[in-house]
Amino acid sequence: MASEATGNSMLRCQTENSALNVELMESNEVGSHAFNGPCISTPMVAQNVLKSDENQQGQTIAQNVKNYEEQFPWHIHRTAIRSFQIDTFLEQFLVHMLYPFSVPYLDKTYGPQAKSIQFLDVLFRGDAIDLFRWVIII
Amino acid sequence: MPFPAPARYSSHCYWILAVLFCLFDGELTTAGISRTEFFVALAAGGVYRLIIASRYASLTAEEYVDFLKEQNQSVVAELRSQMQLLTGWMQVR
Repeated sequence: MASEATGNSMLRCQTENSALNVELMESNEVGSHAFNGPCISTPMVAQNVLKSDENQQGQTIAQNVKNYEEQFPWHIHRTAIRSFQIDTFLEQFLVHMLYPFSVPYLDKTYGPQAKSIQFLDVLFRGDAIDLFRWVIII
Repeated sequence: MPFPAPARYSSHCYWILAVLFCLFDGELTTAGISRTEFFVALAAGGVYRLIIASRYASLTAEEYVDFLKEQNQSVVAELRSQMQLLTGWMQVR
């Protein structure tokens, strides 16, 4: 009786979970565990499936980001609408207005190479060509 | 690749224009250079610096700090080209 009851219970459990088991069979570890192992309640199986999907999606996204960053380690992601950083705006405006008197601040805050980076901005290097093209297009 | 050393003199100081104009106001007026011309030049410099500040302000905090702390000049040049108005915002290279 006990084994019969256990068998019925297993059969009922498998029937209830049949829809999920079809999906689980397609995946590897979770599916085989649910199908051949002890009976697991439906919410528990569903929860495992959801967790598995979330993990898989998360891992895929993380892998894609990692691949992208390995390919373009210094690429600026300016493909979406950006937020406007007020503190950065004020800092850069004051640094350029007060250059070269702002050099000690740059040294202290960002290191010795920062003054050279900012110096190129002061010289119009790069921006001149950019602005020129901008004016031509307008 | 090492960075070019910034100039030690202050010839690129924005306010030197205003200082020179105050010092030589009489001579400039005699030479026919009006104060309006002086203010146009000063305003152009100010607008240029506003544009630069706006360009940096569109970066995230992490990108901004990474850019200013970058040691490799070629990487900085590439980042700078990506940050420019046209190349950055309109995706034109």
